[in-house]
Amino acid sequence: MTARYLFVYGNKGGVGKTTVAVNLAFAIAERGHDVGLLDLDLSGPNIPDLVSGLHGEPPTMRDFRVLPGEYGGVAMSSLGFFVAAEHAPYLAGRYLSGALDQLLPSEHWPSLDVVVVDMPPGFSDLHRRVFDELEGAVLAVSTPHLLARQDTSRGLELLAHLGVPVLGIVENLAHVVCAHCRSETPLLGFSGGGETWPATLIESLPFDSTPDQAVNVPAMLGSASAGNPFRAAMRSCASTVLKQLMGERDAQAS
Amino acid sequence: MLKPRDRQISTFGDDELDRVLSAFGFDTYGVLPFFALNGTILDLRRRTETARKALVETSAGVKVLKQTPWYCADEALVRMQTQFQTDLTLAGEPVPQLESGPSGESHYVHDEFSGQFFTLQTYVPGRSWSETADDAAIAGAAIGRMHLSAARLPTTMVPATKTVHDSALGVIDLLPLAYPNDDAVTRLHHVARSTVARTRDRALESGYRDAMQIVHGDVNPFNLVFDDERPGIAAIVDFDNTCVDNPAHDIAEGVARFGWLQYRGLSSGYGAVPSGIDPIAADAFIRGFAQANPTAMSTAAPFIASAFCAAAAEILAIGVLSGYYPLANVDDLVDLVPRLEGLFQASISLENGRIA
Repeated sequence: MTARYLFVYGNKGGVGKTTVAVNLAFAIAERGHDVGLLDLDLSGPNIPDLVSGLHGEPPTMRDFRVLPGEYGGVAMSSLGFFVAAEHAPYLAGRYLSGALDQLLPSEHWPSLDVVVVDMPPGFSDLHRRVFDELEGAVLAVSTPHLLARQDTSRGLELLAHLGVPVLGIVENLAHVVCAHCRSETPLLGFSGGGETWPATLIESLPFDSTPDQAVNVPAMLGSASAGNPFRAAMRSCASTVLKQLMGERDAQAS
Repeated sequence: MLKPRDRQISTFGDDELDRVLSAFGFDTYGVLPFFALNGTILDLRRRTETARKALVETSAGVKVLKQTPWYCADEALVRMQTQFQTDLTLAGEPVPQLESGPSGESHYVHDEFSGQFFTLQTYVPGRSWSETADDAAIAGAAIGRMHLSAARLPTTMVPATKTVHDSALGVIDLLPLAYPNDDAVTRLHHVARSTVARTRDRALESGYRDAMQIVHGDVNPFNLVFDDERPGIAAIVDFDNTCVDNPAHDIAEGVARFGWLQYRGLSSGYGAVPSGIDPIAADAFIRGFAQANPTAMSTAAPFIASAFCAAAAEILAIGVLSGYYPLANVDDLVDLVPRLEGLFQASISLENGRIA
């Protein structure tokens, strides 16, 4: 079966695209699917940092094409695995198109059900090429902040112009959940309802105050994370996204 | 001349790539920013210290595009270096084939818009140096065999003679330009210049120039591609420092860079300031060279210690200029330089051109 591409996209930087992409990939894998995670934020390839607590194999290369490694059962590819943290990748023009030639899924990739793609912020030649070459749908990520909402609207307008399907919006850092009474307090002024967003609001993610939340992702999705509202919201998001992406063929977690 | 600031972040611009590759006959191509070495994926930009390089995918396979470094960007030098490389390829040495330039006679492109010189050669896959004595021996043997082919070529094709001592002095004299107000660097410049000049003069008086031939001029582990299927060298690369000199030049550089200099991981960047020579690695390189080319070893033997002093002093100067060695440690280098020739003699004993 041809892999379905899920582009985690946000026009604004720092809204949590990578955190959502990584957690979503593992939440989807938890439901029994073969999942890939492709990091296309070439200026800030942070996915390896979010899985640094996992054992796995880094990406390899064949015929100058990058093959994904594997961490926690998810096939994973990111520049961050082979560009040192203190080095900034500089990819423009022919170097950018060449890097995409090397990074985008090729015939050497394993067979996967879903590939979650962590897209860079903004909109550039990279976005145009990826949306043109890979068939999939966008899951937009934003925070409730006015500036983020405005930039999200701009980005979705471009996607509509290109005819790229948009599943909806994930609202990150929407609210803080009190550890005692479980009440929800908006974090950035308001937690918007569906009418304030230019697309369907799929999920509102709470701010996760767990220390080092991004490390050791599978442990947070496993039984040890029972009761964690962020993890529960990610599981709910995965269920909703899969239903739209793959229909009723979505397998349940064992 | 000090190294120019790298304003292009070690990349070629699209228009530059189009012009230069079209001049080589390739109007359709792709750039490959990443490649694999020893199973590790690397960014080629990070592997080059002196010249921009790019891997390009062409209709004729993967090629290495390289800009001639600033310190040898002279048409006569480029013509000589590329002719030498081509002659070695034709002689059956493991030297990558260079693509012909626009005229079909030269093996480089002179981009008149930028004024820069470029070569395009076959990419040869392989592995990097494993830091073992076996690899040092393999390297020595490959350089020794290359010297046999090089010795058959006329030295008149090289526009200038540049001994290992002259090369070292040229780099050492950059120290006061880079650090005009640093007292320790001033001391290093003085002691390095006088030490290298003294050993050069002794070597010249002892017949150093009696056995001159074309040499590689930059023998180091990162200018050799090791065959990853069988013991041997898949490619000798980077002939930017080709010159006419005593074979001791390449032998001494080999000892210094395989058996003395400390590197950082898979890069050609320098690590800690080297202390002693690794006698096993140095011995392996010299034996490898001697087995492949006993004649050149015999004539070079009396001068290797002197050439090592020059090569090592140049390495230390590069270390300071490139920032690998902190300025706070320069006085350690001031103490080390006068001991370099003795360091070699204490580690390697050569009698009648053979290791004792």
